[in-house]
Order: sequence, then structure tokens, then C-alpha cells
Amino acid sequence: MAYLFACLGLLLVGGMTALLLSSRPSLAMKIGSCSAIIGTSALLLTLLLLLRKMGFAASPWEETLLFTRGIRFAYDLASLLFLLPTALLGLIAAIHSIGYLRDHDAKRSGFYWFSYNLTLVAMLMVPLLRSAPLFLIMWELMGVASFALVIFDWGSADSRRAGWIYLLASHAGAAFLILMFVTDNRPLSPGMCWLPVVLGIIGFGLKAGLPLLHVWLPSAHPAAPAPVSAIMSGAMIKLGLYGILRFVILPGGDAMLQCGWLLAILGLTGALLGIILALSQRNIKTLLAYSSIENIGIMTMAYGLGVLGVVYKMPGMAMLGFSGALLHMFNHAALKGALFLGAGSVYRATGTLNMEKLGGLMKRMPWTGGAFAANAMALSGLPPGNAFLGEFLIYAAAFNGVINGHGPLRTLSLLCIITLAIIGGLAIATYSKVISAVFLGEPRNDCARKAREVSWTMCGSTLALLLLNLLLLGLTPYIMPMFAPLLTRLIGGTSTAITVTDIALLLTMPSIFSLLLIGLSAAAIRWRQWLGVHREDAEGVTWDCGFAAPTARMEYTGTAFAQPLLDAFAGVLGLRRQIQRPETLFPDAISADLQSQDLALSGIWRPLFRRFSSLAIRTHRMQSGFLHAYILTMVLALVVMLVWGMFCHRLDQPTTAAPVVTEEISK
Amino acid sequence: MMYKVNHGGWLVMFLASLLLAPLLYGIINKVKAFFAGRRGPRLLQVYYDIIKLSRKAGIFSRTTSGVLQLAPIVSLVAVLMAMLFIPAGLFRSPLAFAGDVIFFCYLLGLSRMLTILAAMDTGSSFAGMGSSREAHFSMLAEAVLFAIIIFLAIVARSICLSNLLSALSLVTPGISSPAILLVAGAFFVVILLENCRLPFDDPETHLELTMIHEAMILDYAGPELGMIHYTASLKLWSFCSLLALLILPERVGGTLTGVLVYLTLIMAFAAAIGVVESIMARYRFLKVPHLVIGSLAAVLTAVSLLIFF
Repeated sequence: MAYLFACLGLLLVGGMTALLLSSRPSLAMKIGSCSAIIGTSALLLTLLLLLRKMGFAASPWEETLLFTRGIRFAYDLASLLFLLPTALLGLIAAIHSIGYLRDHDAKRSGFYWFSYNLTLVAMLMVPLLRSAPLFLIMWELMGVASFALVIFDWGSADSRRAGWIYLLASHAGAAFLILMFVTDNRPLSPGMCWLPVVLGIIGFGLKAGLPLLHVWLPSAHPAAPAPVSAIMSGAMIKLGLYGILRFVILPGGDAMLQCGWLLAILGLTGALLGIILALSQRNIKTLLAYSSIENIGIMTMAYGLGVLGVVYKMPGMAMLGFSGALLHMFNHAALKGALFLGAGSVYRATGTLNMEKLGGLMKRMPWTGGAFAANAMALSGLPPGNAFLGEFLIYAAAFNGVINGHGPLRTLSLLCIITLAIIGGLAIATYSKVISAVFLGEPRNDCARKAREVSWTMCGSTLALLLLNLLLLGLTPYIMPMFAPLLTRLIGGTSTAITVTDIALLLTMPSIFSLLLIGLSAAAIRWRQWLGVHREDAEGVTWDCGFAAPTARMEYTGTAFAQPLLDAFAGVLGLRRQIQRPETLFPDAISADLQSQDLALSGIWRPLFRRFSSLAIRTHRMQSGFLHAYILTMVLALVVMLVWGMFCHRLDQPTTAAPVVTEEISK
Repeated sequence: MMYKVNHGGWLVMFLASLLLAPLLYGIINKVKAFFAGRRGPRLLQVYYDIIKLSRKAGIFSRTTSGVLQLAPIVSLVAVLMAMLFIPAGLFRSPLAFAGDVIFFCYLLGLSRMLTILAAMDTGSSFAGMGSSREAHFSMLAEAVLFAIIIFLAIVARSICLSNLLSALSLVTPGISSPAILLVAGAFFVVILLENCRLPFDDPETHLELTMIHEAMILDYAGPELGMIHYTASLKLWSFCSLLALLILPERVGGTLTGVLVYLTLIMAFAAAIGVVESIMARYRFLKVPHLVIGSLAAVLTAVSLLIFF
């Protein structure tokens, strides 16, 4: 456990040194990156060792690391599971950063590494802290340090705007969390027991990106440098889910029924909205950010199913729901991290993230392209991807609800299954759109035409994550029993008909068949290549109705690909069409464009903030500059408070206080 | 309520379905020719086509990047693997596991996504149109398919394909037969949609502009095209056999009678597809979602019939 603190210390010291050496960028780069890589890899090793200790053996649930003056550091299985993605992505994104920053932002590497390491330290401390004030401080530090990374390109107005929204969302989340901690420690009337639950879900949901609270994600992710987006999307938003698990679900309480329904319905809407909005984007990273909202929605839905399973005494559903959520959390961290890093590589190679300007990169960047395509297909939930295993469990949980549940629970589970199926179809469309618009076909632009494979650090990091995903696919049935202590605690510690081993067994077959699918496909491809040796495979031009020279302009664009699907969801997207029709006999230009907007932002938050700012301007009048006026305001305020205190609070005075005191004195 | 456990029998039926699958297209074409008053291609023409194509060399567009080449192979493997879970010929699949029905659906999803990607790899605008429509319609089809699975799961109290299909037949007592008919009808719609048949997609149209599946495979030739044809026929066979198993009770007379009834029913469905194709015109693409959502509503009605009555 001293190791844990040593690793965190190394990260901090490395970051500080890098900041101090800002004037010598290359040195700062070396120190910063080395400290990040060594720190996170040591941490990863420690975590894995601890996990083995905590998971398999019948060890105590929680172990305290440090306990002085009300500050308590402790870790249990939940902390370790949520620390793992941070450490892993911290390591791989650090390797990617080396290539990503070179040539472009190398001069500011001191600042970058300082903020990077600080963000990591804050993220690693959050799951370890058990005392509310320090937890909140670290939570805020995490927001502020990553804010510095989001506005790393502060030259561009987009980055500043994204940073602003992010800062607001982060603070608002912290405010709700303070309220949650305050109400949580206070005896509430039975009718109000849902209050801390709702406050917690809002506060943590702001970080996780639950629907309506998600608006910071799609602006902050594209603005931040790619490795940072990878960490934020892969690990940081998961800490929101950690918070919900630790402070809302694990304590239990009377409001679990409402909590389960709220989580399930929020998750359902978030997942559906997220994937629909993802499909309509043309910036790769915005698309990935919306897809994160979708996946967070799926995990939240699984949480909801788990909690409802506990409430309705259906341990099978509870087990499947919670284990599916945790498993999907891991898979999504590895996959989404890899996709953001891949998007970063594309950005460095071409200078743009706009899908409509790219194309044909598979031939020019085969390693990046291959890894991106494989990861994206896996994230669509298709076998042989590892994300399938998590979704498989969530499906199983919902089917359990349909088969064994009654009344509204059955309807909810039914809705969950249909939604998951629709999400599956939409995810296939979304990722087909990204892969084909960016990597397939002919390049649509010079920058895509001249693209070359990126440096080995960037390439290698996405490939490493691909390899990790393959490992996860094979090892999940063996890792699964490790979740046992957490899962039994989550479903109330009772011995149940279905155990973690059953869930691991449930996953064995899909896992084996997925590996078999990969093996058989490889063999079949090899066989086809062998066939090709004897035959002369020819090359030709793409068939375009006899047209001899098809160009990139004749290709289907990503927007065109998505259009029929988007039209089906036009109401949710606020679609706007811009069509320039041919006007003369020899028209110069015709065009058609389709743009969507996030109705949560343009319909709810923007008007709300506009209302607020106009209110603020109106109250501005009070600041007249005259000292007399200020004194008068204060006196008036005092008088009002006095009157309020006299009339309202006199009756509440405790009358028994005085005798107690005299008794103590007399003793 | 379980299919017979006979691994040998299942294996024979599995191999037989691999062999017999292309015959379904032959039957469809014969029926269509009969309605049009033609003699039509020979019943085994699809076999000859596949064999001829498999002997040729491939042709690939210069635009493509290897995805075009990989997709049909992996797609074929995925569909073959999906077929492993079907209780072929009323024998329980030896590889069945809890949740294999989800795996089955997602394997078909994999094959679909690969086809879409391969089409987009060619950079052709026709392929783009085809894949865009495929992505749209298949999403809807998936929703209907899962609704059907929900219906079956409630009856069978299981999510294993071999149990799901054995729990129900047209004559199951205790379940209103309108519900079963609604589900079977919706499943037939899914078969037509998933296998790109009329009224959703016209496999014989001569305009690339109006195709879905055929537009996506325009740039294939040689062994790859053969593989795609074979994959398509395997997919049609699996769907038809699922519908046959859905309708049949788990025991029909002796083993041999059961197998014969099963095979006949599959052929009959192929003939039914041929009849549908002969008497219907293709829907406008904008109208397709209405029909699919209609069948989703039908299945959900069946589910509520099951739950409440």
C-alpha cells in the first residue's frame, strides 16, 4: 500500500518538475512522460496484485490505508475496479501523448504533463478517499486539472467555449454532491428519503453524462487533445458511475425502489439519445463522445436493472445487471480509449477531424485504420468483440426480468430489450459510418490523400489496446469470479440461487465461440490467399454504371449514409436541411446538407442560462457605487432577518437545554 | 418440452442443411417462373453458379483496401457459426448454451456490418445507397426479431434457442392461437426483410438505384461472389428453418416423419416467398419502415395477449 502512495507521489513530482522546466520543453517532455509512464505502470501492477488479493480470497471487504485526523484512505473491490481503467488508460494515453505532442504542441509540454499528471493523481485519489470533505476537494481538483487540459488549445474559441461549459458542469456537479453529503448525514422524514439519492444521481450524473446532464461531453471531448479525451471518456466519466455505486447504491436505504426506476429510465433514454445523436455527427470525436453517452446509458440501465432486481427479490437479475454494468465499464474503457487515440492519430496525420473531408485512410494508415475498425466493430457490441460479453449479460438481466418479473418491471425489462436491440442496430450504422467515411473509399481531400502512418508510439498504443481487448475477450470468464465480494455485497449479501461462478459459466460459451470465430476466419482468409496464389486476381475500377472514372465526389458521404436513419428520428434531432437547388440551365453549384442539434443544449440549457444572465444584469442595478445605498441595503437585510428570526424561529427553541447544563455543573 | 437429444442426428441434419440451402433459391425461382408462365432456370442452377464462381479468379476495385476481400469470408464463417445453434431437424443442438439466441442475432449483425463496410470500401455511390438502406431496415428488423424472442422467452422461460423453439407450436394449449399466428406472421416479414426479398428489396431489378442487397455486392466477382451467394442461401435456410421449428410441435410422429415434415415445411416457406414475390410489387423505400413497425406492433400485441390473458 506504500506502493500506491509512492506511485501517486512519483506522478505529482514528475508533473511539478515538468512544469518547472517549462522553459526547456524537450526536457520537460522527457521527465513528464517518463514519470507518467513509470508511475502508471507501477500503479497498474500494484492494482493487479491487490485485486488478486481482494477478489479471489476470502479477504476483508475493505482495507484502510491511512486514518488520521478524520481523513481516511481505504480501498475495497469497488475502488480497485474503478481505479484500473484510470491506471491503464493513463499509461497508454501517456505513450500516445509522446507522439501526439511532438512537432505540434511540444513547446507547452511542461504545462501539459503537469496537468496530465495532476488529473491522473486526482482521479486515482477519488476512489480511495472515504471522508466527504476531502472526497469533494479531490473531485473538484479532478475537474479543474482536466479543465486545464480541455482548454490546452486555448487559442481557439471552440476550446474556450467547451472549457467554459465543462467548468460550469463540473462545479454544478460538485454543488449537488455537497448537498447530497449534507442531506445524507441528516435524519430525514420518511417522505424525503429519496432526496439524497436524486441529488447523488444528478451530481454524479453530471460527470458521467446522463441524459440532459450530458451537454459538456460533446463539446469538451473534441476540444481536448486526443489522449486526454481518451482518459476522460474511458476513465473519468466512469468515476461518475463509481460515485453512484459507492454513495447511492451501496448504502442502500429506503429509496432503492425509486433509485432503481430512475437509473433504469435515465439509462434507457441516455442510451437511445446518445446513439441517435452520435449517428448525426460529422466530427469524429464528437461522435465518439455521444457514443460514450450511449454506453454510459447502457451501464446506468444495467445498474437500474440490478437495483430493481434487489428490490423485487430477483437475485438472478440483480447479479446479471450489476456484473453486466461492471464488465461493460471495463470493455468500454479499453475500446473507447482506443478509438479516441485512433481519432487523435487521424488528426495528427491529416489535420482534420471532419469525416466528410477524410476517406481512404485504410490504405495510407493500415495499422491505425485496422485497429480503429476492429475496435469500432467491437464497440458496436458485435461478436467477436469484448463489448458483446457485457451487453450479453445486460440482455440476460433484462430477459430475466421479462421471464420472472411481474407488472411494471416486466414492461420495463421488455423496453430494455427492444431498446438494446435498436441501439445495436444504430451502433452498427454509426460505426459503419465512421469507419467508411474516414478509412474506406477514395480520399475526399488533399490532406487525406497525403496522409502517412503516424509514429510508432501513437500506432502502438492503439494496437496495444486492441490486444488488450482480445485478452479481455478470452479472459473475462476467468476474471469474472473476482467480482464476487462486490456483487454479493451489492445484492444484499444473501446466499442466492445464482452465483458469480454461474455468470462466469454463462460467459464461457460466447467467449469460446468468439475466439473460435476469430480463429476460423483467420484460417479461411489464409485459405483464400493460398487459392489466390494459383489464380491471378485482377484489379479494376469500381462499377458506377459504366462510368469510367469514378471520383471521390461520387462517393456516398457519411451524412448521406446516415440520412434515412436520421430522418426517422428527426423529432429528437431538430434536423435542419439546407438544400441549394440547381437554378440555371448550367448550375454552378448544388448542395444538400443536413444538420442536427442537441435539443438538451439548445432547448433547455441555453435558454435557462440566458434567463439567468438577464436576471443577473437586472440585479446589477443594485451595485450603484454609492456607499449610502450599500449601507442601506445591509441595514434593510438585517432588519428583515431580525423580523424573520423573531417570528419564525422562536417557537423552535429547545426548552430542555438549560436544565441539562445545570445538572452537569452541579455534578 | 425439449427436442430430442441426438448429436449424430443433429450433425447429419446440419450437414444436410449446408448442402440443401442453395436449393431454396432454386425453388423460389421455379415458383416465380411458374407464375410468369416461363420454364425458368433449372432447380439446381444456384449450385452450378456457385461452383462456377468458385473456380474463377477474383477481381477487386483499385479503390478498395482489403475490407472488400475479407468481408465475405468472415461473413460466411459468422453465418455458419450462427447455424450451429439451430436445433436442425428437431434435434437439440449439442452446442446450445443459455443465451445462444442473442449470440445468434449478433452473429448475423456481424455479417451485416461487414457487408456494409465492404460496400462502402468500393467508394461507389450505389453501394453507399444500398448500405444506407440496409443499415436502416436491419435496425428495424432487429427490433422485431428481439420482440419475437421476448414472446418465446416468456413461453419457454429460457433464452436458449433449442428451448425457445420447442416450447411453442401452433397447437400449444394454453396460449391463444391468434398470438402465435401474429408472431409467425411477423417472423415471416423478418425473413423477407433480412433476406432482401420482395416487397422490401427486389433482387431482380435492373436498376442499381433501386436495389439494397444487390447494390452492395455490385463489385464482387469470382469466388467472393460465390461465397456471398452461398452465405445468403444459408441465411435464408436458417431463417426458414427457425420459422418451421417455431410452428412445429417438438414431436411429430417418429424421428423420420419429423425430419421430413421439417424439410418439407422449409421448402414450403421458400415456395411461399416465391408466391409473395410473384403477386406483390416492391414497396416504396419510405413505406418499408411502416410495415416493419406494424409487425413490431403485432408482436407486442401478441406479448401482451400472452401476459394478460
